[in-house]
Amino acid sequence: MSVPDAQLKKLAIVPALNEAGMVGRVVRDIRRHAPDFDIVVIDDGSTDTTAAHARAQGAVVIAHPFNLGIGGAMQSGYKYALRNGYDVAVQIDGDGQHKPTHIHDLLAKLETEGPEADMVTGSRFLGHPGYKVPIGRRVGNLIFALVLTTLTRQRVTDPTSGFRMANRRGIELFARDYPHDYPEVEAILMLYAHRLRLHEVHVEMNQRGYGRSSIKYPQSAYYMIKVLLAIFIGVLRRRPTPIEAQGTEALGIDPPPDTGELTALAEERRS
Amino acid sequence: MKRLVVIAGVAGALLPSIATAEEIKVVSGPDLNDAIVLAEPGDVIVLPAGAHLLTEGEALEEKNLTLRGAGEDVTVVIPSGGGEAFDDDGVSTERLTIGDPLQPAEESDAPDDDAGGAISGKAQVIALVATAGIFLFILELVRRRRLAERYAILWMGAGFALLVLSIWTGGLDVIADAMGIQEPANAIFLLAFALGFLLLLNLSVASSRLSEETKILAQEVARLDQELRAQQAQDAAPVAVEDGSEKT
Repeated sequence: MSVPDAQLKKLAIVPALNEAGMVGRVVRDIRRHAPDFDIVVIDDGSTDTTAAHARAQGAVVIAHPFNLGIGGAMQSGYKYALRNGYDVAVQIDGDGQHKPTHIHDLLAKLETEGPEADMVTGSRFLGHPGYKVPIGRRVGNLIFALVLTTLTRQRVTDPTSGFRMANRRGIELFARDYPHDYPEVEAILMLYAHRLRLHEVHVEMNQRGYGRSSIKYPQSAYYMIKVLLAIFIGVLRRRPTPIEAQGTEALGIDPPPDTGELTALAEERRS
Repeated sequence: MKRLVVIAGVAGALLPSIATAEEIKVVSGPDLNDAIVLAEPGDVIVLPAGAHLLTEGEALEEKNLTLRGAGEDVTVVIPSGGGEAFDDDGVSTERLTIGDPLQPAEESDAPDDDAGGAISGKAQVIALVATAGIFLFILELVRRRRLAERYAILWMGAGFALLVLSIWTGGLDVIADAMGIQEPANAIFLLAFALGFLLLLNLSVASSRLSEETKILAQEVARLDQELRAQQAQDAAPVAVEDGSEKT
C-alpha cells in the first residue's frame, strides 16, 4: 500500500437491524472521527425506521427486503465496496459497540503492515484484558482463539470481534463468499485458506447500548458447536469454493454495472 | 359395514313371522361372530375371502345357520374351539374350508398361493386403494405444476414401490429373505425409513441451495433499490441544491 492515504477510497460498512435509536449516532460518529470514510448502512430487514434514520444522516443505505443475518448483510456491504472500487472497508456495527475513534488505528496498522496485512481486526483482549464480557463468552472466545491460532499459525486473540478492516483483496474475497450465521470466526479461517493475512490492534468497545448481541445466551451452545463444526469442515475443504464464484459478472466485478444502459433508458423515457 | 349387519339383525327381529332366511354379509374376521350373535335361526352368513376366526360356535349350532364362503381354500373359517359346531346337522357350510384351529390363520391360508402372503384380503384392498390414491395424487400435483418433475420422479418411485408391494404381497417375504431379516414387517420398516431419510436429505440440500439463491436475490434487490434512489436523487439534484436540503 504505497498509495498515499488521501488517494485511497475508504468505506465504513454499518450492518444494522432495528437500530433506529442508535444508527444515526453511529453514522454521525463515523463522520466526525473518520471523515475520509464513506458510509454505507446495510439495513438487514429492519421493521423500524433504521433506514430512514441512516439516510437522514446522509449515509448510503442498502435495505434488504428481509433479514439475511449478519453474514448476508456484511456480504452486501463488501459487494458494494467492490462494485464501487473501494480500497479499504471497515465494519462498524450499527449498535454502537465499535468506537469510530479506533478506525484510524486499524487503518494505520493496515498501512504500516502493507502487503503483510489483508485484514486488521480490533481486538478487545490484545494486551489489555480489561474488556468485561460474560464469562461464558470469554471462555468461548478463548477456545476459538486457541483453535484458530493453532490452525492458522497466526496470533488470534479476539476471533469474534466484528470490528475489522479489509483491504482490496479482503473485500474481493468477502464479496464473493461470506459465511452465514455467525461469520466472524469462519471469516478468519477463510482468509487463511486463501493465503490472506490477519493482524490485530487493541481497541476498546462499548458495552452494547441499544439492541442485542447477535449471539444470545441460550444459543451460545449452538453457536459454539456450529462454529467449531464450520472450522473443521473449513479445514477439510482447504480452499472454500463459493457457490457464487462462477459468475463474476453477477457481482459486477468485471464490467461495472450497466447503469449506462439504465440511464439511457431513463433518458429515453423522459424524452 | 357393521351397521349393515346390525340393520339386517334388526330387520330379522322385527319380522319374526316371516320365515324366509336372511342373508347376512360379513366383511372381515371379527364380524363373523357379530353376525352369528345377531342372526335369526336359519339365516345365511356370507363370508368374503380370507380367514375368519369363529368364537361363537355354540350360537352357530343353536341357530342352525348356514355359512357361505367365496370358494374352497379362499374363505377359511377357523374354529377357536374344537370345531364341534360343524358336526351338527343343522349347521351347513358352502364353498369354504374349515381351518385347523391349532394353526395360526396365516399358515392355513393357501400356502401355495404366493399372492396370499401374510396380508388378509381386506388389508390388501386398503393398501391397494391407499397407494393407488397416493400415486394419483402425486401425478395430479405434477400435472398442476405444483411439484417439479425432478422431485416428482423421486416421489413417484416411492409411490410405485408401495403399489408394487401392495399387489405382490409375497414380494415382502422375498425382500426380507434377501436382506436376511426374518420378519417381513421389519424389512419394510427399514426400507421405508431409509427411503424417508434420503428424501428428507434431498429436501434439505434443495432448501440450502434455495436459501443461498434467495440471499443473493435479496442482496441484488437491495442494491438495485439503492442505485435507483441514488439515480433519482441525482435527477432531483438541481432542485435539491436550490433548496439547500437533501432529498431522497
